Amino acid sequence: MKKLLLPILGLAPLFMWAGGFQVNLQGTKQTGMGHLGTSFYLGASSTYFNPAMMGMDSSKVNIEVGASFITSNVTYQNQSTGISEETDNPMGTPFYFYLTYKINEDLTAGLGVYTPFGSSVEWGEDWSGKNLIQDISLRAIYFQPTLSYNVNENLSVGAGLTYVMGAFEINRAVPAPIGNNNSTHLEGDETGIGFNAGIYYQATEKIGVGLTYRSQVDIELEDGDVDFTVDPSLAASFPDGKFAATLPLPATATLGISYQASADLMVAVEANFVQWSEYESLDFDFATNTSRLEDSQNPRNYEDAVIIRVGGQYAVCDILDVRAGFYYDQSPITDEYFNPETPNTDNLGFTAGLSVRPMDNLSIDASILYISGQERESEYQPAGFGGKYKATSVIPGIGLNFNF
Amino acid sequence: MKTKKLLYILPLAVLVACEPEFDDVEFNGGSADFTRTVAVGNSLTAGFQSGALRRDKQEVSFPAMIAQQLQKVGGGDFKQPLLADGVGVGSTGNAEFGIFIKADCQGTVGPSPGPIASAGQLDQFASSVGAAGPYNNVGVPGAKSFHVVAPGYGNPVNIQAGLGNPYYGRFANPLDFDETMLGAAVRANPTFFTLFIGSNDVLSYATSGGSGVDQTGNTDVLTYGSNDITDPNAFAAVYSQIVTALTANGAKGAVATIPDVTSIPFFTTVPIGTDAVSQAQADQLNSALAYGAYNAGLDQVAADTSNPFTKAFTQQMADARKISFTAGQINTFVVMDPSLTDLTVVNPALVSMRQIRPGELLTLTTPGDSIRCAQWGTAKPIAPQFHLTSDEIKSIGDAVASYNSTIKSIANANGLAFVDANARLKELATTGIVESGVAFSDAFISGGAFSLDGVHPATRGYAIIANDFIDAINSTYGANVPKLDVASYPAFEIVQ
Repeated sequence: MKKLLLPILGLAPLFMWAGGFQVNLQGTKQTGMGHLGTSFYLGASSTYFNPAMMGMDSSKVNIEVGASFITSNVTYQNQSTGISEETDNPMGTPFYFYLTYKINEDLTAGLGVYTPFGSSVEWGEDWSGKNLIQDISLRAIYFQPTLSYNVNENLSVGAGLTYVMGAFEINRAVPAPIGNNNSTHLEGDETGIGFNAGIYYQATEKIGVGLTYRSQVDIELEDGDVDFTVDPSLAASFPDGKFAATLPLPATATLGISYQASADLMVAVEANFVQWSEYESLDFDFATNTSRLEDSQNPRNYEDAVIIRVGGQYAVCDILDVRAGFYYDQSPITDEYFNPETPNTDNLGFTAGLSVRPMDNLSIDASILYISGQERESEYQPAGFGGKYKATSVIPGIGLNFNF
Repeated sequence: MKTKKLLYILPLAVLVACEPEFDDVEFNGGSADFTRTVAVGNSLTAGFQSGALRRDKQEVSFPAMIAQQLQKVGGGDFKQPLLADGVGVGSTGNAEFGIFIKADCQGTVGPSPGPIASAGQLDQFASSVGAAGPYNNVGVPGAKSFHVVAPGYGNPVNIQAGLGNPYYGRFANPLDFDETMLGAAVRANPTFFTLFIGSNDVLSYATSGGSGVDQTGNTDVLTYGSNDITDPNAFAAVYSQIVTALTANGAKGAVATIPDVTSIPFFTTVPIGTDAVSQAQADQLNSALAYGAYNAGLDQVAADTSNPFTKAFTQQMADARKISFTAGQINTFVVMDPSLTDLTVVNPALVSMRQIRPGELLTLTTPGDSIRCAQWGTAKPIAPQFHLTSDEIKSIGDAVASYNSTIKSIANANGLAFVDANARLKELATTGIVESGVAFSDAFISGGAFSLDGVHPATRGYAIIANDFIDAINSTYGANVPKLDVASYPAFEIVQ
């Protein structure tokens, strides 16, 4: 099962751009307005944004598909040596697919496939932080079967399971005392299970309130592969073999409020609380230890983070909606444990988007997101490596929404 | 198709425009003038590594590394008396050491250091490069503090007679062979200097297993042997003389303390005891045919108060040098200790031997195969030149502490940048030092900081020293001199 799915995972190298390695690009329409969607309905993507609202559509079946195209750069500068270096990241393409099916007036079933965590950072083989990271690719695909139920006119609830396929690949140099081209390659994939739930409450005719929770999913890798490329004199000390590691994909709680200002204009605010403090350490437990190869403990000590979002949507005419939004995304990484493996700064996100409906039951959605990473000066103290970091990303997205 | 292309091109275009960039870091020399820098010192300043001076290692001597960084803030050229390309030349005429994969006497294969050629480039001592001076690097392997002010230290006649130093001789002033190292440094008219001298004032005593004399109390350096410890007052006088001369025209500078040489891998690598010994082995060593007889003999001498040669020999002294092995545990090795009371006059079998005491040290040159396969340390005592007694260690430590307090007070009095190299070595030996993901320790070879002679730093170790100097320069002179990326310097390679 796991092996079979690998080629699919291979299609989706994602670039970290939200806090930590979270990737918040789960709906083109929502992305266009600051990636809000907990307190209003925009289509089958509610499966992700708030499963309580899946039944709010008048049609029987609603389908949304889409993808984003991430181009991003991170620049590093060491303040004491003056060295400046930058990443050469491959383009990331997170995607989503949602399907909802109305079983009856009150009960709706849905399926979501999306990629809320991932990272693809490439610093190069010989940059000054090569002993920490050369490149990393981290991918997680969520499969989420969900049910929603309308309790009454104003209140609905929804819940579902998440089945997660995670995979990662890391290359880094090995700073052994003999040889100057020693490196290690770590690779593995594993699945995990979690759940999600949401409540929507129509407080007044104009005000909607949504609350969602997505549980933490631990990717507990038991048989990752580790390969060493080391000086022949060290080969016995660095045996190729298996390793175990656990990567937590943290829980997120979201509270959103929307306000229908007029028939054409809707505005909303939202806050995500991401429980990054669960990510304390990335530990590699090697099946075979030697005097030189001990289990590797890499403290991360992330802190919980908050993302604040505001956005709005304006219906220009029957066939055109335009959107805009902004968010502030706090980095969960402290200045003492900032590792270039996940070079996540505090981010400002500026978004715009539109939907065009050439037919009644088809919407073509587009969004653009510009992320301005705030400069920070941080160090990964356990490795004695630090400096200034700055990042930017430009992310266009496209999506389709059918219903019948 | 066209829209798809646009999808790629558009964000790329925006991203190029908004690409995150940093302004270059502003570096400057502060209140110091690096137009003409001079480095005065010993092998550490010369760039000596792995048992020899060699051109490619001279090029990464710590003063050369500093000079390379100073050039980014207006520093001038840094001319070194480089050897010709080759295998280098060590103090015994040896070539530089490399790491070979070898089997020991028990057939265990592992990395092991050894000279990379049968002999070093001794011819380099025969040709003078002095005419191309003055040199900015006046680092002379083997130089003690007082050698810096010793006239004739580079004179070929003295070198011929074994009184001079061939490393200095090859670049000494051909117009004045008697010019001191200090004179050569002053002749370069420095605006800035580094001074890192004094290690050899204790090192040769230490590496020879304490075979010299602790000359504390005797300031007449002309009476010293080559393995003696320099008197702290003599050191202070010389150090002060050097700094006075170097600062005479207003030059600024940086000085460094002497590392406590007993914490370098040369002394901390060879274990002072056995692996756990078997009952049979312990019984045999303790038997009346072996150390049992020695112990009984000691008791006998202690009990005999009539012999005028040994009546001062007490039971306590006898007990202190008795030798016994306990099965199932580590036992310290047996060594010869010439400082023990000589009892061979009354009993030729009672040679001056004892077991090593905790805290004492064996040198890296202790023949490992003799211990592993020829019963050194167990049935046969280890020769004293491989052993530092606790008294010898104390003599070294006292001298180093005294030199270092002199260095610190002279640095303060002259407003010089001060590098506590001794504290850094302690840090290396206790917590270790981490640079860009490379963890350094004081362990031999695997620690990464020391070269293959166990005494001198490896290239990365020298880069750490250079950075310490730069830190001190920056904080003392309000400068912002760029530091080195230590991890970017090479680690050891295996010699094929």
